[in-house]
Amino acid sequence: MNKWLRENLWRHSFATFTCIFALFPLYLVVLSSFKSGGSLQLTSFVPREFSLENYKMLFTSPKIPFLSWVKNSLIISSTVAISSVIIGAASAFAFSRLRFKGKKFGIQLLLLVQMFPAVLALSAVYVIMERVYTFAPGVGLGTQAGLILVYLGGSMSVNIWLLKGFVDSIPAE
Amino acid sequence: MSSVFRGTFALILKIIALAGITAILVFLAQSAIASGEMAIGAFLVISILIINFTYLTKFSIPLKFFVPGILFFIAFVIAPMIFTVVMSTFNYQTGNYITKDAAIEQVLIRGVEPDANQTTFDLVSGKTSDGSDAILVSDVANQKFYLSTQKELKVLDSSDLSINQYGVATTAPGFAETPVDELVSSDSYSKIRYKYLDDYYIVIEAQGVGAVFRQTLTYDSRTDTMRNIQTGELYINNNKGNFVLKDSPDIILTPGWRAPVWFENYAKLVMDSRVRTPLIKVFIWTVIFASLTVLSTFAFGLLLALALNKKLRGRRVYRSILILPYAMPSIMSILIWAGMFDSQFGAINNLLNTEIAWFSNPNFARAAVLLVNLWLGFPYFYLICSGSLQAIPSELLEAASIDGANPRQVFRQVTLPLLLQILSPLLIASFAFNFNNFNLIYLLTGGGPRNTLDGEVAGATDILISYTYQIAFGRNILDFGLASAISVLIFFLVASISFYGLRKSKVMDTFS
Repeated sequence: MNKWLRENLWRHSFATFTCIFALFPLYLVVLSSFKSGGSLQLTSFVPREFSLENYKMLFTSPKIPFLSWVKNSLIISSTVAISSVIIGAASAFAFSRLRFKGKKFGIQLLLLVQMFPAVLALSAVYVIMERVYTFAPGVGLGTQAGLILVYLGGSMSVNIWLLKGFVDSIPAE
Repeated sequence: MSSVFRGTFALILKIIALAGITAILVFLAQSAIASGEMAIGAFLVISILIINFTYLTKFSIPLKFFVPGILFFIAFVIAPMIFTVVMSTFNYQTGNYITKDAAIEQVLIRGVEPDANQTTFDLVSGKTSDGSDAILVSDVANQKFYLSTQKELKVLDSSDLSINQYGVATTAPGFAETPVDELVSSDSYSKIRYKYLDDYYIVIEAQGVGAVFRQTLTYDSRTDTMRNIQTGELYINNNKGNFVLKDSPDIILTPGWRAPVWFENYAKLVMDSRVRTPLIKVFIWTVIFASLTVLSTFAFGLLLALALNKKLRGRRVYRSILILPYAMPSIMSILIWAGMFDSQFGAINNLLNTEIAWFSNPNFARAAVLLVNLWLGFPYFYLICSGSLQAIPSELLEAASIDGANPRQVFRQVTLPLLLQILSPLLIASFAFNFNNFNLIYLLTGGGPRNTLDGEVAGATDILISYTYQIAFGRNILDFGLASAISVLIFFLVASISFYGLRKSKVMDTFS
């Protein structure tokens, strides 16, 4: 028993402590989601009241079109996911399996551009999409199609990298 | 591959798809060029050529795989990068935002002065019999009446006019009043300059009221200068996007235009102490922040991995709980933490029974940032470390303990060096990521606390990227040029850090 304690006590206590640390913010969010009233304020760490008011509001309040947010997210994310896998996989396959001039350069370039601070390239993307809007309002700024295009383009280098790793790991036969 | 992909059916399908895409792109390119977006139009045209060339010839098979990816990549990754680099050589900021032609136009519009008495007149807007815009001006004080168009000023005899009780002429021969609705609905009337005595003119200031002005500045396109007609002062183009007075270049005409200033933005980073001092401060904190984050998350994750690197009751439960912070969208968790650190109602102060104003004190704010990043980052290193620990051959550890090393010695002499060697590329990647961890700083503290009253741009927790964002978007003066210069700088910093990491990992590849 003593030996067990010596060997395992610190492991359990450290893991438990970390679990509490990891769960604490999540616990608060769940707790306040069942509270009436607006903010993330806390008067006690033990649940004292239980109200589904917030959840009701989420689905019924016309000010919070939660379902249409979900719909938008689904449309955008699924379109981006499917098209980026198709386009990215084609490039990744070529990088992984085919031999051609400039392959090494291409891979290094892909890696290099990921170092560019995306937050600041964002302003340039904004200007580009603003200009696209002037002649093609359907795919310019403020449209779902435009957002999908930007997502697709912006994540292309990361996707090709990731997918290249997968293709590499598939045996050539 | 099966024959479905090789037969005539596939060929037809290919041609239909190709034709469809080409048609869409041609349509877009045509409307882009029609509305003057030449760069985008040119890109689309080249895309069309490349796509059709690649898929209709057997020029290069790899290219067939690459084309869609490459085109997206160029449009949304490379083009913004080039745009940013180009912007960094311009004085692209508030006050120098528009093109030169637009700036000259604006300067000329502003380059006017009222006459000595700041005279205003009652007037009626209308049209002359030949249809040109005109005003019927009543100089009530001097009992004089004029019919003025853009070209000429006619003095009228009061006997021809009908004059109302205030002494204002309302009708005149050969003059038809324009309905009020029409005047209100169009703002072009207020831009017309009607002739008045000498070189003065009358502008409609409000409904029925005009004021007397004259042009003071003229632009000479041959010498590219602005001249004040009355005083003879000469304003020259300073080649940095402004007209300045010839003898005292500090006096500028606003607005300016965006002009290439080449490396001036970069020179500012080094020479101008108002830019350099905060930049160095921010850079130091960025390095400290990134290193401490990597160190703390790695140490915490490793300790956890060691603790759970043994068959333990409840290990699975622990594991699934521990990766929760990693599984949650980080933007959401950061916002939750921001709420928890609230000084009045936040859970942290509640828990510790303190009243710390976390985000108003620089050191507390820094501590908060590091703590939150530890929470966000340790699961990643826990996963990585526990994987790597299992990859270390157990024979090595056994051999060490047979040689008489106690567990602590084994860890220090064998496990840790091996782990560091395996994980060094990941540690460097994590450093590079946190170097640019915009979301955390921006959402948690916004870079603050900063003393905005002193015009301070750099806050105590600002890292390079959030500081750059502040320069570009966060203030009244938006300075895209300078911000772009800093982002190019960041790019080189992060790229060299990562390049170093890559080299290290390559070295390891040759070893294994």
